Amino acid sequence: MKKKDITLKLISVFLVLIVLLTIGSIVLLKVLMNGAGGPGGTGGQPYARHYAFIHKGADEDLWARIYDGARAHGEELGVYVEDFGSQLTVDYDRDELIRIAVDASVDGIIVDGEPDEEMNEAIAYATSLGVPVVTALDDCAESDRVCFVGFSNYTVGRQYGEEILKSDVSDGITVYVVMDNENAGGANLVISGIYDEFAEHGVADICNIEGVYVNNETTFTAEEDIRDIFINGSLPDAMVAINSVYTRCLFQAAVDYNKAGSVALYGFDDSKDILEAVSKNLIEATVSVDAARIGASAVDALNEYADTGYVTTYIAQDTEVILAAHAEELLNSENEETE
Amino acid sequence: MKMKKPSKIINWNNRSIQSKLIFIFFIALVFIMGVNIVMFININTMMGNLERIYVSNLNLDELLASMGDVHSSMTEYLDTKSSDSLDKYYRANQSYRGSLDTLNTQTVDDDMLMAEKNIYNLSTSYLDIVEDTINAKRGRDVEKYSEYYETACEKYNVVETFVYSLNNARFKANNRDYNILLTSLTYIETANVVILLLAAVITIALVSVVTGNIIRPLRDLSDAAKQVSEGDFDVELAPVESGDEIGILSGTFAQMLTSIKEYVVKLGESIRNESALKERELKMETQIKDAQLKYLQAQINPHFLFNTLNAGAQLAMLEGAEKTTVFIDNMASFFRYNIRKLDEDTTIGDELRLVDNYIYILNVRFSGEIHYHKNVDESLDGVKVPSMILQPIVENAVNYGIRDIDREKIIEVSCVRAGDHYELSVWDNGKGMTRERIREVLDGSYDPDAVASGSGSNSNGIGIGNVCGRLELYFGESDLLSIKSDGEDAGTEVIIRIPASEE
Repeated sequence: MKKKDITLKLISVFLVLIVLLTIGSIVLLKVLMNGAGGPGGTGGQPYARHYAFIHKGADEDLWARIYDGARAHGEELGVYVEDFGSQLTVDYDRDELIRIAVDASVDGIIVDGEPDEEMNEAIAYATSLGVPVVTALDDCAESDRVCFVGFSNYTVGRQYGEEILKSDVSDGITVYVVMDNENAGGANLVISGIYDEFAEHGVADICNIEGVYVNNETTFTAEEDIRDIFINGSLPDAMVAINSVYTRCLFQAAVDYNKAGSVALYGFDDSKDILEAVSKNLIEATVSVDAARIGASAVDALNEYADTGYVTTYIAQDTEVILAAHAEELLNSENEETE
Repeated sequence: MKMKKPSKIINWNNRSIQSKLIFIFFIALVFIMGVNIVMFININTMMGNLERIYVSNLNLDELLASMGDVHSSMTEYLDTKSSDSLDKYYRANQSYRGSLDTLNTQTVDDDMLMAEKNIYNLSTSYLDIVEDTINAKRGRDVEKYSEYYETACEKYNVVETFVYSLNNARFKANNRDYNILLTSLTYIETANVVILLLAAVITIALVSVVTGNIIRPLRDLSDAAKQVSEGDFDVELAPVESGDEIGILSGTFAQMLTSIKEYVVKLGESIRNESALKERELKMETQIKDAQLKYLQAQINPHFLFNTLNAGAQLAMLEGAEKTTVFIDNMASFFRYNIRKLDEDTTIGDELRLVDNYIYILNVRFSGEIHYHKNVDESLDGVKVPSMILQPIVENAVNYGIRDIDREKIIEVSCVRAGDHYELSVWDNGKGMTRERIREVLDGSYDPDAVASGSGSNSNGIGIGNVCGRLELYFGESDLLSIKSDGEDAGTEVIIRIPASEE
């Protein structure tokens, strides 16, 4: 009797194996197919709003963080933030991209502002068709933008001034602020901040603060202009860079021309390479802003405008001065997160 | 519910080996085929996906071509204002809108689908401006349609850029998917081979186990048969439940084995019985030889004597001496009987006739002193008995009973049926026997020759013990001979009990 039971059990096990093998192979196929992603995309989560995020190609790292912050925050709020134009084969200007985004029926636009007429017109075009525009990091104050999300260049200038004054300035020093035509307004506010800080400490009269223009109209020329300062000009006591690209160019040139230490460098941004430079004392200090917070605030501003028809015209973000010790801490915590 | 399970087992058990094997191989075949079909479907699905991978690129190319048709037909209409170009424009517009309908228009978390949405909206914007251009052309508003045309061209370029960009992105993604699918195809092929091998191994294992289960009783049966052929009948054959050919064969074999065992037991018993019989015959023969030896010791060559007596009888007859003739004839009969019958069975009648001869001879010798009486049931003449059982008793009665008495000497022989046996009795009125003597005679411890040597005994040497022994061997029973006597001078009766045969 037992033998027969075993035989029947074996046959049952056999049938179960057939079913398991069949299901297993189908599951395997599905897993592999999912790995392939399938032709034509997977669809995705629906969103209530579609915002275009438009920025210039320069300072990609900072803008990438601002975009990531905007996108992540948008996902929480049911807003799809598109890095508009980044995947296109043609390099459109920001004002062109604003018009295209409006034609593409986006619900709002976040743009790296620029105080020029074309930008004004593009923003006016968008506003006329009911598409609100928020400028981020750099403003286009004369336009119809509904809000600007950024930080105060004057405050940043005061922070630079405070850091420069930690060195001996009793004999008077020369400070260069590296700036470009495009953002001359912002750079001038930085210079004002440094000057006022010096004035408060009574050294404004004996110190010389100059704006050094670099050409950023064409790609790579800014870096060449910065190197020219090290090669041709007489070096100042301190140099201030007001964006991350200029900061990198400055400390790289100082290293390459063996001027590290002979000129005090003050940078902007808290990207990893800049923090490393600060921790190695190649840069005295760097001023950073919470980039992700700027992106998130821009999304909030557009949402608020869409919901209420009103939004505050300026949302300020705090800036922070990072010195060597703090830079090292930030690097360590970043490494721990990576691990 | 409980009844179902055994019935299934019984059904399975009762199936023939052929149907069992067909069932097992059918299951195996279905299994392998099932696995193959699944693998085939997998590969086919994969190949289908491979073929569909670049369909999205083709669709975008078609979209671009449709938009090109719209733009060229619009340009042609602006150039010629022909109804043909307008017709072309409308058809191209319709076709383009049809192509646009396949695009995504929802806001979703997918860059490519969002690019589709942008293309859809930009295209709609483009088609609107194209429509405005056509209408301005119809209204011959040169300034406007020139301006619209310029805007339409800009938008056309933008849409074209977006489509190209999406096409590029799709192509990259599709290439990635194509490579993944190709790799997956390799995996699937490997998985197929592994699954098939696994299936084959499982099938072989199952078939071998199940056929092993079917054949195991046959193997057990073969081992048992081998053991039996070597003479060992103590084979433990496990009971086989199945009703197939092997089950029937095993059952029959077990039954055969039981029968053989029983037969062997019977045969052994029969051999033992035969041995006992042979042993008894041997003992009988020994007794006879012993009697013959004693006879030969006691007598002169009976053949010579017998022949001589015959010659004497013939001489007496020639001389006319009748009494002498009868005497010698009786003597000759007596000795003939002794020679011929001692090792053979005889009948009660022959024994009685021997006694007659013997008494006659004695009466001649002792001048008719012995009064001999017979009480015989003649129907018992033919009853078979061992030879020489009556004459020695009569001889003893004469020698130890009546020889030395002075009164009338009487011997009575009787032969009667007594219930389930026959009784042969020799009674004399002689000296009688004490109980002690009777016991000694019966257990063989009394030697009459030694006792009688002084008184000139002439016994022929076959004692009561010998007669007892031969009776026992012949009939296979004891206590067939008994002696009765009331003591001194009270006479003696020796009784032989012959078991009545069924004949």
